[in-house]
Amino acid sequence: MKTIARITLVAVLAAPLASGQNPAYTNFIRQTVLDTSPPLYWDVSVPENGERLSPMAINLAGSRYELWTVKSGSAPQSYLLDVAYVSAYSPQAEIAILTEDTEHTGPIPRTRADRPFQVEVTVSGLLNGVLDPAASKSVRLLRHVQSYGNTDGSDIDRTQASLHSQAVIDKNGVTTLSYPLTGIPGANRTQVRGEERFSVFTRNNDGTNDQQIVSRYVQVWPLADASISGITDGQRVGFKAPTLTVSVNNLYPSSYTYTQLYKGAPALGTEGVVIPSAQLQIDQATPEDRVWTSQNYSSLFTEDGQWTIEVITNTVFGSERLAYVTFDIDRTLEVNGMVTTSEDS
Amino acid sequence: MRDTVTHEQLSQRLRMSEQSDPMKELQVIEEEDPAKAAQPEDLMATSEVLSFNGIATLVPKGSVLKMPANLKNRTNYQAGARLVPWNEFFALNRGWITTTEVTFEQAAGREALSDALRKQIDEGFQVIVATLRQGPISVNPYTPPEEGGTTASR
Repeated sequence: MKTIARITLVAVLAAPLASGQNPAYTNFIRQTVLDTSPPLYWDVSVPENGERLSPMAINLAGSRYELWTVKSGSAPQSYLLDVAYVSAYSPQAEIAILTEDTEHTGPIPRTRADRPFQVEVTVSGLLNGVLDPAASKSVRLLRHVQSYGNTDGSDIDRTQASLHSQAVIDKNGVTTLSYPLTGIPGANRTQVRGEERFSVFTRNNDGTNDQQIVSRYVQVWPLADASISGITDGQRVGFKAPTLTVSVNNLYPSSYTYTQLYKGAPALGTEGVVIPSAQLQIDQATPEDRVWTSQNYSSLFTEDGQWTIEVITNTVFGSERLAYVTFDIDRTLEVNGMVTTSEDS
Repeated sequence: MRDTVTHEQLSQRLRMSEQSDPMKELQVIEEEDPAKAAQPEDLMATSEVLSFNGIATLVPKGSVLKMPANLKNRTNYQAGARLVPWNEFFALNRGWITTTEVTFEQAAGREALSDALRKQIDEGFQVIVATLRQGPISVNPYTPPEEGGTTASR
């Protein structure tokens, strides 16, 4: 059987390394026709963001569509961004991953290690007739997890991802999976960084030669943390405040993080005065680390008494306090002296 | 405003999450991971490079039907060359590259190339790239039907 399928090829850069603005990366869509021996390779030109119809007939064994981006340099380096399989009998599937980071407009959804996400799997074209081929009756849904280690994931080898779980879908419609938080492996759950990938594969009788119909992944970034040094809890500070060092790590890619001080004991939600040299607003693809050093902030203490310095980060997930320190400002001038008089004789 | 969550809190939430894994509501299976077996071959391994004057492109291996000996050095990627899509590269290099449209059956090796094309391959002095609907496509050697013998040739 051979049908003419109108396949919409959409080239959307699907990795942070492949910025649409970066001329060092070039996209290629390659169709591999699987029912010839050897397979045929056919390239379809598409713009960076665009689509066109595939005019090629879809054969029984189907075709695999691969979206690649290649980095120019001393030697070209290719990265596989996405794969889709289409055949005359294969069902269709789409996957949408929904996170709370709705302000993020990039092609890859993202979230944080402590936040929930939802996966919507839509399957259509499944058949249930007695004579229908096995591959048309059900599909396999797979969940892979993969840690980035200490990297930003740009050079990740996705063949090394761990298969977390898999299931069969044998009915057309939408399947929704809700996860309270990521299952990416990591000893410290606050520092997990990596991706969760959900894929739909064909399901043949013998479990071999199954082809990917669709695959989508969500990037998961760690929680930010901070430390304050230079001033310690309970320290008595005089006229000249000591050099303050604030180290922040893993700031969420889109966040505003600042250091503030206010009079009194630590109290969540207190609005203080921001130390200008210890704040950062970012909107980028990956987390950020910074070290801020502040020396001339003594004038921000308006009166003596107990004061608190704290580091706050604002993200789409809300405002969170990362670290704080409480100390005493004491600038009372104590003069120890003796008054004497003298008379001329 | 809240304090950031701790590792211990997240560990407990993860344990609860794993117990109520929504995948368990489907028909869970334990079969071999197809994602490892179905990985496509690397693009560079299935491509030929065309490179000239600081730019380069990739075409499927087997799509270059003719490469004159004096142009062979243009199949080497020149370090630092900027990769561009095929149509952009072709537009700038029509002086030494030409294309020929083939049918799917010809590309699949089920139909022989035309005599005119074979003559062009034999006598031409330009690089010839096979295309289907203007997209470069690999061309398998022609295999005549069984009764015609088993010799493979273009």
